[in-house]
Amino acid sequence: MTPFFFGPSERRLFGVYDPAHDVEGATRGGAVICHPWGSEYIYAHRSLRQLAMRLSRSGIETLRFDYFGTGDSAGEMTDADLAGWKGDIEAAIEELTDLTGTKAIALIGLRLGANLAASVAAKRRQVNPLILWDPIVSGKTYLQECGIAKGDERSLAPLPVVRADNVGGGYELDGFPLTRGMAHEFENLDLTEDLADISANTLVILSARMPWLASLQRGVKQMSRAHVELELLEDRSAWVERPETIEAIPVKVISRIVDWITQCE
Amino acid sequence: MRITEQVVLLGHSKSLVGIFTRPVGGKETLRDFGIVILNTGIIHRVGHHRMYVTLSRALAELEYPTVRFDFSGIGDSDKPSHDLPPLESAMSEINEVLDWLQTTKKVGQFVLIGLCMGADHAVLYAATDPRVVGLVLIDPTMPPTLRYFRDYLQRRLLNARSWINFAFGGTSRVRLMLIERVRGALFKDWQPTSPTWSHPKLRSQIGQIYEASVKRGVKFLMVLTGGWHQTTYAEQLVEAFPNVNFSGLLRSEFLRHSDHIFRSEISRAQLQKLILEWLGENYANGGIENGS
Repeated sequence: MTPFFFGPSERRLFGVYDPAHDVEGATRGGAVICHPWGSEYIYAHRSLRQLAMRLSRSGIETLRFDYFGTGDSAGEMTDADLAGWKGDIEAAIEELTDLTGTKAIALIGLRLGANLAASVAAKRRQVNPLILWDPIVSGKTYLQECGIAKGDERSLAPLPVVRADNVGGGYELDGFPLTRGMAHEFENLDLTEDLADISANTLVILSARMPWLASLQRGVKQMSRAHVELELLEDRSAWVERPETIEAIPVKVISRIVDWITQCE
Repeated sequence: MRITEQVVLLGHSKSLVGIFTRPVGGKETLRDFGIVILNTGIIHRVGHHRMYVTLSRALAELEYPTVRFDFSGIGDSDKPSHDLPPLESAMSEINEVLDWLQTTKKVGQFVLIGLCMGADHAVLYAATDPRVVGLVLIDPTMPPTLRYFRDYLQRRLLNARSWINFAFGGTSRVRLMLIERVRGALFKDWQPTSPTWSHPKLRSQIGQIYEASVKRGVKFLMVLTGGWHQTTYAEQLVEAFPNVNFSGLLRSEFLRHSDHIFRSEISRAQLQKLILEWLGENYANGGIENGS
């Protein structure tokens, strides 16, 4: 495992490269892991590290990294935007390609990371396969669940704190600043739109039955250009902290992702 | 002041992942003490809401070289290669990080910063290493005092759920404490099964740990929050350990509106301001000397 910074000095990104363990004399391509955002990133860190280790032991060159303004990467969250984070995923793909020489790169994204990965995969043919783990199907619904956008008034989500205009406005979402610009980008997230343009082999894996499952199923049906599997594998949510599972990782989901990606060769 | 961040692999086996943050440009010097930020529980080195990244950068801008790292088995650091119990392992790893700063960056004195379990690690370690000259302890383990019980009860008495919990045998902290005290009074040889403050030796042992640092002149910034169930007021440490003479060494603050993990940006900014202010008060003249 090699932790390092990469990318231009004004946008240095923190990454951790897990080299492929030699499996029968050859590596099986590369994988870039795309983190979720906010508290979900903090809680998922442990599980995504385990995923990276499992992939590298299965012969896959693996890079996980922090987007600009998150984790150990340069910048502040208030200077970040989703377009920039998609660019960061592309920079990570380039970095892994340069490091290892491997051309076939899988993208694995969790929550917001899945949406960003899908968007990059829709434009970049080098990405194959693609794994979307508990994606945000609709940004609007996500913001409603967070109490930001208007929606179900019976929602129990606490009202988010409104941030002052002189610090970028927007909201504090579970302690993380979500600027007005970023909130607007979130609102426009629509996974099903990106799915239609994807040609990579795709696994959509859900660790819990979600109310938006039907909408996701409709989106998956539009993926005429790709082989796609949608699986519900009930397991712990990597991105949620619950006192009873605070140190636990979703072993079933991680194992399924590793098995699926190695079978995709 | 421009700063730079560098990934460092620390410890004997170079398996502890850390980020070293320091100023660049201008005079290529470092202060004669460094700052080490410890993990909060199992949250990796960026801290809750990335608070330690922001803090490290602010510290580096004021020319304080700062390391935040993951203990073995946490964040990106490998599992420990030894069989030490977790606490001994943490103590040994703090020592290794301080050694690294001393040998590679010529930093001879240290301030440790920790929240919750990180604060406990910091205070335990400081008692053993004379290189530690200051501690920023945020919501450490804190023994209850009479005033704590009064404040706590006052708060709970106004809460209907507390009454239901108490009456129906829930996990009310006060109820459990009362049961322990009654058992302790009735049965001479009774010992609590878990290390609680009712344990006869625990309070005095923790007091001795604080005293060891106080005798060396270690300075303390104690930050307690309204969200930490073990504390209700700023002076709780002093009242909990009346035999330890903190005089002139302790600044204690109670952030009533902050929760334990500093969820709001305002409370994080408040905490950071306190830390920078305290460092300025105590170490502003902590000479700048040759560093690398």
